[in-house]
Amino acid sequence: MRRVLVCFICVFTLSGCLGGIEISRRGLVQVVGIDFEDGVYKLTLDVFDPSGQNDQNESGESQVVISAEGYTIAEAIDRASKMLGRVMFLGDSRAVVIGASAARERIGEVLRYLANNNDIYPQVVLLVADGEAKDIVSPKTEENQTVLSNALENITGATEFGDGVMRSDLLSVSKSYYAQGAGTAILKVKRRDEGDLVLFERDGAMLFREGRLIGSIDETEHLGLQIIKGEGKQAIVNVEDPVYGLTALEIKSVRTDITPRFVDDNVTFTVDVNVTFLLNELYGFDDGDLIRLSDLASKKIYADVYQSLDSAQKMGCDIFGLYRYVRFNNPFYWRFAAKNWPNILPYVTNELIVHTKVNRLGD
Amino acid sequence: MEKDIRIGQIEYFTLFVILRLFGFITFNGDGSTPINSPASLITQPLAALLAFGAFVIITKCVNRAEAESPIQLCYKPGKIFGIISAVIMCIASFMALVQVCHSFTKFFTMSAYPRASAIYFVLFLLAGAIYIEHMGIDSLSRLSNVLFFMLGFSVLILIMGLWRNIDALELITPLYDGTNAFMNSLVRAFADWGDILLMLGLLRYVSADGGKPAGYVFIIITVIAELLSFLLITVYGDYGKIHLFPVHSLFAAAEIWIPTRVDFLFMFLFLSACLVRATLYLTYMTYLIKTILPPERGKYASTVVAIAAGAVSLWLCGDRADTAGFMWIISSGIPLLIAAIVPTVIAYLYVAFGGRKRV
Repeated sequence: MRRVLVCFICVFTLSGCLGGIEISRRGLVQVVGIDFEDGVYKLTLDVFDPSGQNDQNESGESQVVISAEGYTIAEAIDRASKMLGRVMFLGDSRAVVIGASAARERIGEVLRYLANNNDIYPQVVLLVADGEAKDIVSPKTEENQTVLSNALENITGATEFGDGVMRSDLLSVSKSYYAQGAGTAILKVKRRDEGDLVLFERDGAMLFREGRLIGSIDETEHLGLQIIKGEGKQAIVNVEDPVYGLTALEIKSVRTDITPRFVDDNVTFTVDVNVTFLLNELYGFDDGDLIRLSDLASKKIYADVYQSLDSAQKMGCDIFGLYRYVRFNNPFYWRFAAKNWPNILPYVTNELIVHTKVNRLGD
Repeated sequence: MEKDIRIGQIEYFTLFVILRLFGFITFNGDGSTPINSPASLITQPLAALLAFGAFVIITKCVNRAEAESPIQLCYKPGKIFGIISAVIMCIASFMALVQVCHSFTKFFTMSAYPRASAIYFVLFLLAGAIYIEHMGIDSLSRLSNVLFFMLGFSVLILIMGLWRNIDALELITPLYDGTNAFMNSLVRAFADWGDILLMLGLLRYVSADGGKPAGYVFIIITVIAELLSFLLITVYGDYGKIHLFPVHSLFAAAEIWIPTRVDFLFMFLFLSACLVRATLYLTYMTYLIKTILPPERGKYASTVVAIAAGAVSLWLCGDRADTAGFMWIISSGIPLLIAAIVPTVIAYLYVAFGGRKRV
């Protein structure tokens, strides 16, 4: 009798999760757009509709885009849940777009909310909109229904279209944002309408430090940033060759060694960049041409890296993670310099060395 | 008359690996060892070495040939000393049981089910622990082999899912936060080894030579702790310090192709570690109580202890300021360490220097 009773009780415990919510009552948010206007957060949510009652995109998925307001992000999400009659679930989100106004005025709050929300995937793509986030998140027209989350992931290089874009996900952004003395960069996205076609493109990155927008870098400086970080694989670098004209070189590998030197409480960095390019053209280039292309590429990389270092340093925003080299090599110096690092950074000198090599296909 | 229970050496080891795993995966910075501090990569092996030394000393004290447990040794100097020792060990074990219930409830009500009532989680955990305690420790020991395999698999998945996020520049000198912070980390890491109380208590279930390769347990646990610390430091850096459950965040960030998110592995390990730990401490307390009370009164000891532990953990769930000190003590492992070492060593010295022998 006792065993029967135990089995009977066990059956009741197999009924699912505690306080479980049916999938049809869930709002599976794919993309979150966060705007801030007149002291109020305005959220635009691209929600996957499992009931299939709403518009279908090119993948045949049903989507619904809704907007909600609140004094906090949590309040706005709560309102969106009540409006749609579904409990919003952010664990399935693939991109978060922060509007320019929210980025300018409330970046600290936004990052804190995202970092503290247990549902949100740490590697979710994070972008800053050129204007309002709602223009990015609700781009649908009758003729053009793109899979928004895919499009946004593509421009950040999180998919097979990766083209040497810097990482712009919640984990990497938050890690540098919360590191003492450092700054962080978030990719900027802008919308481009071509007739009925809505396209998205990358437009440099916005720089933040200690809850404030510090400035921005353009696409050229973005490539320089990538190379300093030892990344940028698959990015295209165009060089003006005197014989063949404008020639495209694809970055095959990047290795950057950064060494800090400490002289009388001053820091100097030696940035040694080694880039190998791939020439995607089969005919016409001999070894001499490759050496010439290599020299041209070297000058181009030097200029890009120098420009990137110079502009971010002037803003006192350590998006390169130079502080990590200081802390690693001289932790006791860093203990005293950490608080003042944004003020020290503009006066840090750099010795930049660039080595390049151009390979043909098959080399 | 107690059932003649025997645990294989491998099961004994895997049980303790899972038992210690609890300390790492429930790490949340409030009194437990800071496994993501720069010092932790050095202090954890040092603490394991110290704990192994303490373990070896105490195993030398008890008569392994007669499968004697530390509490049996404590009864040799006299009944009063034995009862006092049993009470001390009981209180320490009770604190450990309360801590399991509290961590279990806290994690679920703060992350997975934020709106749920704490009482359900305490009830589910303790009901499971009472049931397994009733089934006998041998059933739990067999389960621990499966859990150990899952642990190894999870760590492998974690490394695969996080390797591209590893930043070796985050590995800075262990003395970065100063000598005091280093010593504090060492003491707390050592105190976390208070579980040797249980390890010694259950030695009597293992064959006489079973305790000899116990060093492997310390090595395996240290390797797992080092791997978790390494990943926490290199993947999250300072950002990890603002996370309430950093190891959970680590699993959440791990990215593999299929099924992309692996935090379900954390849930599995967390549930398993809590259940194993709660059951082991409940079993040990029941055994200790039976040495104090007459057999007929000790019959419902496990149920009574579980209810009391559940009530205390629910009281602590409020995270009130006046319970913060108590929470720090129970999560520090210090009571367990004192209970593991002090009574046994005193009893041994008393017996060794010609004291009374009354079994």
